Amino acid sequence: MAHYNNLVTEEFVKETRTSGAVTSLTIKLVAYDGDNNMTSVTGDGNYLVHDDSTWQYLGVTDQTYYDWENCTALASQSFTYTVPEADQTSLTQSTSHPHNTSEQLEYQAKRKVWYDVWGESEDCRTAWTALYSAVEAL
Amino acid sequence: MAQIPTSSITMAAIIAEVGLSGSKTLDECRAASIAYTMSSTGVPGHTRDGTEQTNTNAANWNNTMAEWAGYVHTQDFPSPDYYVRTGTAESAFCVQNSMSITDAESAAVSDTVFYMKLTGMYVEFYMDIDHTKQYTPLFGETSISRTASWRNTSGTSQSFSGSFSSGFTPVRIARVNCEDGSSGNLIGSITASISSSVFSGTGTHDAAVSGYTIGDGGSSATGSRTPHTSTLYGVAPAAWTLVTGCFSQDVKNPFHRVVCKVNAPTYNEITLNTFVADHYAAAVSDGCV
Repeated sequence: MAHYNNLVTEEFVKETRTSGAVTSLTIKLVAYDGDNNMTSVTGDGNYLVHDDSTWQYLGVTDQTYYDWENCTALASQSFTYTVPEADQTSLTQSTSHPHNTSEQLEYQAKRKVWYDVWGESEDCRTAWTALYSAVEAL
Repeated sequence: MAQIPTSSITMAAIIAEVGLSGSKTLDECRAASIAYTMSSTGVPGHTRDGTEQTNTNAANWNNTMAEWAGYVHTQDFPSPDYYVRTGTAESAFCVQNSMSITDAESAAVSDTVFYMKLTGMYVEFYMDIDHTKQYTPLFGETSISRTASWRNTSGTSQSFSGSFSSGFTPVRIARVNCEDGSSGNLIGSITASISSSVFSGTGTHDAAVSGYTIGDGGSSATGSRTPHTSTLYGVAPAAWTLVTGCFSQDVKNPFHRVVCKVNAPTYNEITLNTFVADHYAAAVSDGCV
């Protein structure tokens, strides 16, 4: 059984759209050994892209971020969250100026609602438990 | 270690019980023995002289094999006293500590120090909301919200005394009585440890908190420390977001399990009930710089 003093985890959220609207999310929980096989990048105002994440994080200048695409995962667990109709949206992320602030804030609010629900779900707890168990079993 | 039986006592059993090996004399075993209060007043084949109840390892009473009847070299600590809720599930958290911040560019962190302290004859364990940790930006944010509460042993929500601007009064979570029953002094060479691990969500540990000596076996564990009256050894489970910008947001809501242990050379290590910490950090960008 391996022991990791610096276990790093991250949640990646991928949207599935139906007729333009976000109808479900695939949440992938990934664990990494923070002391090995990790790559970092320094933000330069460009967006950080990851295959498992619809949202692209802006790399704020001079801030340090993990370069997830080039980090070696120890284990992962995924689950799906079905977005209720009332919480669906057809809005998308804007990555170039000028931004429509009200639309981006509305989209952000939707993502926050999604997180608050799936983050408290039993599926999420089960996935976290499975992920940590998988790491402990390595 | 095991208890020496009250009959058919052998030299091998005595030698093993006091942690020696090879061929030893009873006097060498006596010198290696600890203060131990015999529970029985009679030993088969031997008439006790009445001094056994106050014997120490310096006494010469146990220079006959029969006097070793029932001797136990290692002892148990008394049951700990608890002052907050304990358990291992998310719902068993003893502290909730959260920060939410909104700005064009922002980051949030919430962390709580779990530390040990020697107070008189007790090894005590406390938790303290870290109010010193900075967030980004320090000033000018659109909005910021910070809250903290703890749960007593009945699970009832309690407020910390203090504030995020001036700091909080730490809350004692447990203590272990470490008085030597024979001498009335503090048990010798006491050590304690605190370790923390995330069991749900994405979390981390703060590597440095003002006023505390954090970690040793990595930032998530103190390693074996000698509890002190003023040097406070601890760990700081935390929720820590990315720096967000341009309408991004990052939310971390980890749950940590905190395990405290106390040990001494002639005692069985005691592992206290598990404490669970619930941390929440949310950073929201409401614009592009």
